[in-house]
Amino acid sequence: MTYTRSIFRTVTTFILVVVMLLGVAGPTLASTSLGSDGLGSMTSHVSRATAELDTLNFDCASQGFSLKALSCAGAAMSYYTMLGSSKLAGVGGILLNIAIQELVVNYGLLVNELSTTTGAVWVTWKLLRDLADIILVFVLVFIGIATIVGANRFGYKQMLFKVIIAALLVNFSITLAKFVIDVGNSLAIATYAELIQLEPAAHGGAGNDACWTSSAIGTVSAGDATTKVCIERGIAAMFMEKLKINTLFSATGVAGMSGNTVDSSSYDKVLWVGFFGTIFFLILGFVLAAGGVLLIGRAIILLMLIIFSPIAFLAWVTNISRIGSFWWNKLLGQTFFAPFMFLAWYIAYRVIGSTADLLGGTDMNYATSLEQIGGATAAPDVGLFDIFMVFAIASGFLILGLIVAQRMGAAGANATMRMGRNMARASGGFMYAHTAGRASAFAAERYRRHAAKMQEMDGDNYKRNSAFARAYRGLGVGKGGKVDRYTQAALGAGATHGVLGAKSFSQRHADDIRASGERNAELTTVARQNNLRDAAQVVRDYETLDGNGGFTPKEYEAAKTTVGTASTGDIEAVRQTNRGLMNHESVVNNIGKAQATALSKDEKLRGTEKVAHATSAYKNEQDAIKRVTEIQKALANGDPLPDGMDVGEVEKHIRKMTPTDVKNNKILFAKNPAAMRYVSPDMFSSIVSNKDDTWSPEQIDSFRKERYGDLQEKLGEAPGDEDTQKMVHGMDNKDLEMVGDDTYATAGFWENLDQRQYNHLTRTKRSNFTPTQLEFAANARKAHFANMDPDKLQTSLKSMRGEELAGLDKETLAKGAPGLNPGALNELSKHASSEKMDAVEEEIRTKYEPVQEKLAAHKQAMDEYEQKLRKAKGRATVTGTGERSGDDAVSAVEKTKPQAPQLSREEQQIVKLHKWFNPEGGRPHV
Amino acid sequence: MQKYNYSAVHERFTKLPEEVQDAILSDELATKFAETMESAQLSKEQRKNCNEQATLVLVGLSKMVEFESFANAELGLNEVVAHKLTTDVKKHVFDPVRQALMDVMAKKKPSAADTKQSDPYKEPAQ
Repeated sequence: MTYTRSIFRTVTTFILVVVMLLGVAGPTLASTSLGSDGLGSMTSHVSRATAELDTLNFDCASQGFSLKALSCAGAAMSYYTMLGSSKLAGVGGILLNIAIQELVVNYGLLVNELSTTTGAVWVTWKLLRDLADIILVFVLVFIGIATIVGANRFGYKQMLFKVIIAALLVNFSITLAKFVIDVGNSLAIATYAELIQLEPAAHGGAGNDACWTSSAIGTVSAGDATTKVCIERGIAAMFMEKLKINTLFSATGVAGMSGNTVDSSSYDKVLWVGFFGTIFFLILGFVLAAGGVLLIGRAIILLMLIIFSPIAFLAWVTNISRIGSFWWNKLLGQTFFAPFMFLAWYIAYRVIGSTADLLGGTDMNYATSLEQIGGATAAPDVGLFDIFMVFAIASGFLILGLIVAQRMGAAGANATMRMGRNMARASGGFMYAHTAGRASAFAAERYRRHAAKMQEMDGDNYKRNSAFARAYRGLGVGKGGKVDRYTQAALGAGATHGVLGAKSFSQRHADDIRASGERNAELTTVARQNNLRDAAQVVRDYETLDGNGGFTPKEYEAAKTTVGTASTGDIEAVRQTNRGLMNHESVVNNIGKAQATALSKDEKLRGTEKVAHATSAYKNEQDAIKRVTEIQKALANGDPLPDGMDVGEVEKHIRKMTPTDVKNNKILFAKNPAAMRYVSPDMFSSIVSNKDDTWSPEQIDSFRKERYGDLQEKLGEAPGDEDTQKMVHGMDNKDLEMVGDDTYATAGFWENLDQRQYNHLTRTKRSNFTPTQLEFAANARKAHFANMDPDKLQTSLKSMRGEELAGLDKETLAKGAPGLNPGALNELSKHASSEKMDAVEEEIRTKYEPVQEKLAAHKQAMDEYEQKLRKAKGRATVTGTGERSGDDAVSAVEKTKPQAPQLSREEQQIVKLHKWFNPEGGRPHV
Repeated sequence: MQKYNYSAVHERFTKLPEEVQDAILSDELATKFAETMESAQLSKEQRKNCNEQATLVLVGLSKMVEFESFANAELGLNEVVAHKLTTDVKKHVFDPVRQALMDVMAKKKPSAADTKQSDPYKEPAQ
């Protein structure tokens, strides 16, 4: 169906092409030696070998009005139709030969003539080139605007380079297009030369051999003998002779004929010979003409492509339209159609020759074979079907040659374009590989060596310890660090960009980055899992083998950390190949709590494995909780702690438990409420708040009792032992608020509080207490301060409010007075009695006395100094000559100026406090 | 004229509102008072007596009008200096404390709206 459409399209365009041909190639054709007898020459070649049937005599009138006369008329009509169709076949052959000779062999000459400064092609090309240049100017303006408004897609980075390339190609477009066409035509001429030489001179084709010689190429001068022969005979005559189509006119082949007269017995034979001969000639003519038409169309299309080449290059390079790609497809397709056609017909000629020789040989005669249909009795040399077969094969091969050439031309165009792109890319890649790619590879190698040096270890220490090396490692540049990975990826990508062909730079870059990342991740994962396996072995060997398997405690701790922080994924991965190791009790018990919890719920694990992980998840915590009771018993009885028990370790495990951990172990906590002593204050606060009803009120009470229950007993009225004091001092605000009324009623509790704790309870949480409790606390504190060391007391008073200060007795106040400041005195004076203020003032005065002596001595020294200075200045006079005298004495006195007394910070504080009480100053003495 | 007695003064002082106490004990007041006495060229003894008399006024044990006669008679200043001292002390010492007292009183005094009895049966005025 497709071929039918193709043939139909060819025929319909034939008329148009002929019309165009007359306009475009007419002058050239007119200048050839074809002349008016060209057509006759070709047809004479067709029938040249058998001229005897050129003119047959049908004496139909002698038959009278009979059936024979009708038969005679039919035979005559058939014969003359065949004669006419043979002329058409000749026209087809002439058309093909002209097209080959003038539009392929001598096409360069034609184009050159049309490309002179006044030639049609040059003038129209120049017009479009100028138009393309103007468009390029507008494109430049557009790029400028796009860059200004930030439209990156059309910015100068993307477009400017293309515009420059386009400007170059547009102005050289005619040369480039002609070059491509010349290449195609050269190939076509070479193939044509091979084909034309197949006709041996012995067949009477004198001069046809010369059609491929240099004299026939580029020669279109009028009357040129070679060109004339090439047109009159050429390829068309070769095919006709190969088919022996002229035997259709062989009189000797028709039985019963003598000379040119057709007798009554031959009417039917001639009728059938004429009928099939007509068909054969029409088919042959059509095939030859189609080849000619296609070549003529090719010539016209190529001319148009040359003319439009500026616009095509502009569109192609800037990619602003698909016209560029279309142009390239057409140019390459049409250019290479000709060589492919000649190649296909070369093959066809060979096949036809072989077939004709095989089936018909030298005895093949169409007339004698076809007359069999008309009732001839004599057996022909070649069978009827052999004749049909030879012709069908020949026609088919010729038509197929045209179709294949068209297809191959189009495919060749696409392939050529692809090849062009790949070659450009490959050449770019090649250049990159030997420049930047090589440099990048070198840099990558240097970086790897450098990075390895920075990571070299000597035991537990890095070998390189310069500031740069430390910075390298400290900045996360170190092995496997993000910066390291990116640097490796970038350098590696740069190094491999030189691979020829294949992907674009950006694609390759993305692939390299991805590959690098994946490789790094793979390496990191493998290294991490290997490390985990090694660590698990260390843990197992250390805990099970004699002599700790030869491992040091430091190595064991490091291995435990590795196992404890390993992810579930890594644990599972290592378990796949080391199940025995990873299921060993020592390893399972050291797996992190979160991971162990997750693994205990992992359906992929075996039942026993899940149980082991569930048990190990809180192993340390559960052991600690269980041990609390034993520890408390031992402490209460004054017994030494059982072996392996460490209060600090127990406290550490319990204190770091999260709310979820506590909830997951709530039964154990309920059984061992003493463990509440060691949970963090925040956790205890969360537990006793019991927002989600995890605990019963009784359990909460028991927890509180356990946590603070014995505090009252430990403290009582006394400050308590050192541990108890430390416990109270270590209480944070929440602990303080939670100790309970029994403890609040303990004087030792209040005495042991530091000022911050006391302030928190009596200020921030004042509303939690009754007046009685506050009074009790104040009294306890009063007694506490009364017995306090003066220095410590002075420090404590600094953070007390006036009201609190006023609550202390006057002796305590006096003792701590030097620790007060004017602000505190202000506050104190608002609440304290006059007796207390007097006591404070008296203490300050006492402390001030030695300071006052220092100040008085300094004042006396200053008075004396000033007196001396005045005297010295008084003696200094101006002499009669206008010179001064006595200045030296003034300078000497000035040098004796007493230095201000050096007062300590405490003395300076005393001066300030004394000033507060000084009624001579501006402060009202209240 | 009231004699200075620390106990009595302190007792009155502690009963004063805290804002007034703060005003009396403020550094600004002390500085201005010291500058005022300095400008009047009072001696050490005179300054002590002046401070005590001003303190009596501040805590309400003496009247402000008595301060000028005190300055004239007890401190032995001439009328012009005594008047200037009294004016300055009033401006820099007494008035700030008085203002603090007034502020406290204004805060404590209930407003007419607070004392107004609301009648639940009275329809609101349209």
